[in-house]
Amino acid sequence: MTGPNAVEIRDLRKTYAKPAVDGLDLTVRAGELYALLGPNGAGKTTTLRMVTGLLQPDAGSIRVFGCDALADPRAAKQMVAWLPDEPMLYDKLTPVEYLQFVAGLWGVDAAAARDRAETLLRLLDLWDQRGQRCEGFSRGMKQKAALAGALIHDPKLLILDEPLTGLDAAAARQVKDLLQERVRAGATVILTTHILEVAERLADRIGIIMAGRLRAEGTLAELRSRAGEGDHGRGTLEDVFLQLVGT
Amino acid sequence: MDAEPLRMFSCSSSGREAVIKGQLLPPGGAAWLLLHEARLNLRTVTARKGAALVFLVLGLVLAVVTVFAGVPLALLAERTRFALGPISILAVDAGLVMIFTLILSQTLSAAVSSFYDRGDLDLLLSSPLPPQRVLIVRAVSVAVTPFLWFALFLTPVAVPLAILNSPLWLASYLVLASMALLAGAAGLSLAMALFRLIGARATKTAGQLIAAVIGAAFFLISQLRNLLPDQGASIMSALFKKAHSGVFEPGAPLAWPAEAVAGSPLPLLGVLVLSGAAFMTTASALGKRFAADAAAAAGAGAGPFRVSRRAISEREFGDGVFSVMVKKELRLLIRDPTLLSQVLLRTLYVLPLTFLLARNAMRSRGDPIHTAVRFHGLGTIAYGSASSFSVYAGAGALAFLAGQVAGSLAWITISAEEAPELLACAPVDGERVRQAKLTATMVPVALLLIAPLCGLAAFAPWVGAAASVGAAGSAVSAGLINLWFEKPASRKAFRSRRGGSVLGAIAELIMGLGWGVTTGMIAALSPYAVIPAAITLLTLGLFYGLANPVKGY
Repeated sequence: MTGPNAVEIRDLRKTYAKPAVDGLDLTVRAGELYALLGPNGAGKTTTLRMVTGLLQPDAGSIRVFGCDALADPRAAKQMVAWLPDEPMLYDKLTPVEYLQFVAGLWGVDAAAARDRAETLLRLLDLWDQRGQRCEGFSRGMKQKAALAGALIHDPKLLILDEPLTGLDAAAARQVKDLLQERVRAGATVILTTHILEVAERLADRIGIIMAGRLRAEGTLAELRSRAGEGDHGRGTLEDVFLQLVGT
Repeated sequence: MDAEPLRMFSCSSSGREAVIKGQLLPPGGAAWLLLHEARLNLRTVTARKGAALVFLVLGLVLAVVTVFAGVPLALLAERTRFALGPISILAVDAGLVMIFTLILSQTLSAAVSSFYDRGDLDLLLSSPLPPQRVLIVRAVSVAVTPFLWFALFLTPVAVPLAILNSPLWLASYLVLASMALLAGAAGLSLAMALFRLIGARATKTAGQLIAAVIGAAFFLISQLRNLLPDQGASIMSALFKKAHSGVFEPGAPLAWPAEAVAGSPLPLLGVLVLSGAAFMTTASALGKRFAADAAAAAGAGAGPFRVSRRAISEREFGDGVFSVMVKKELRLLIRDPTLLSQVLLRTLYVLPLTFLLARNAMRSRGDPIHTAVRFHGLGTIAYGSASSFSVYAGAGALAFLAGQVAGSLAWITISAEEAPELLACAPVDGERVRQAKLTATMVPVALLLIAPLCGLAAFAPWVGAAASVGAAGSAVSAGLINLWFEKPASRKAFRSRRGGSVLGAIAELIMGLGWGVTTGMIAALSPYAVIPAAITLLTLGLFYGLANPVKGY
């Protein structure tokens, strides 16, 4: 018996001056790492912000692990963590204080929160700086502190918008390893990125979105095939992506 | 290769080329840079929503003050053929010292902020411009804002005096500009001295605190009579004796600033030359250090980090939403240097009021002379001794102050939330979050007012009780208004509340005044207190109806 999908989006619409998301249908299976790709302004971030409850859609439905995210947003939010490209941090708090705060928001049990905080801070090389205020941190350290905050409540679904922006090679590696570890542990990860090698290496499936609609979806092999390279094509994801978005 | 694109990057050594092309000032010069700063500042001011309304109201207020105060004063000066004497010179000098301390407070604060907020400082210092020039422009820039404000307040008096008495009074603007220039240089020098003495990290907080103390210095000195009744009175009498001993006679060196204000040519020239020389000397002496200090400020707070040794305990986790919200807000409030300086400033203002209240409350108990305050059409609205009236007024002032402090704190916790998306995507009730934020703002207000309220209650229990209720009502009203007129803004905009709701600010002021008057009248046991109380509560209800918050979470 299979459980519900991690995310099921049906006919999702959001219009600002022009349609940002235009009748999007998207399914992300539980336990997979899904990369959502697309050119700037394609509607990736708008879509993910609607899934996390930060934006109200004009029409459509969103289900997170079977839970109607629009009818019961708090239940959906309980399962989700959101990490935008700009870390959601408080400069005057230390990483430990930040994790205490986030754990309090998600109502994490004290013992579990303490253990996870220590594990995450050690894993992300922030343990020695746990008592320093985040204001003095580099961009990469801030991003890692925010990632620790996103993981402190052990979310079933982790949504990341450009998680590797501004990270050095070592920090980027740590983040990628952590994401793969979360997927191995049974969590679902959705990420957007412009670094196509990251999607190529990490993602189980890739969705390409353009003008607020899903243009193509599948494994890299399936996308190659769709792009006309056949089952044994050797093109990189970049080649396939550029071909599919018609640039 | 096409030569045209290359020309875009070619440098003009003299700047003459740019002048020929139609630019008024040669690029890279101090005047050109100043024009650039002026343009940016002007756009910041005019870009504010409701700026036109603010300017209109300000213009109307200035017109009213000009007609009802400036013109009569100028007519009086003309009729009495006013000439500066020792006492008027002493008064003008004291006024100039007060204005200088207020300007210096602002320029020091702006100078410290300009190092940390950066803006275009990195761009300017990485360009081939000499750092002295950047320093000069920055010093002038931090002096311009306070100059413009004081020039605005000077206008209702100076212009009528210039028209009806003597055009030489316009020299007061030049004296004001000199003081602002001097204060700009002094502010930057102080900031840089702090960098040397206590380092870049500590300067960020210390600079703001010192600015607050300087800003309140003149007020505290003027309150010497209340703080130290005997010594204060003797200092004042000694000062008046000195005024008549020749030190403040026209022509004496201490009379020069006042004479410069009145347009006397030699003193005016002296003030201009002195301030200009002091400014240029400071700029050339500190120019080289400026770039180094700016770089130090940029790295303030950055690594290398001390390794934390403290273990994290289970007790630090497990709090509920309300509790973690309150703790987080209090931590952020305590660690905010700009906010700390504002609270310190208000504490310094409360201090003399506390002494005054306690002393008058003590006196009023045995005061035999009672008077009635009558209001046309209402008869006697309050009854008491002179000392007790000052206590009632003080109680009202405390209520007003509570609203003002709570308003500032509520704005920073509610509108200037740093991570609204974190709260918005958390599985929490937004109302609960706002309640916690409101609670967090009340804690510092209570800490600030607990001493004066307890002191008051000890000597005049009823007045103390009225002041406590009034202060609580005022603080809660200010907090609610900030909830109703919530408008997400950057924490850095705290000082000017840039981006905040204009209607919210007006509502906050009206509520503070309403609660102040109500508290004073309740303290005086006046049955008519019901009138301002009803007006205040109705106005609060009206503002609730007008509220249109842009909730960030």
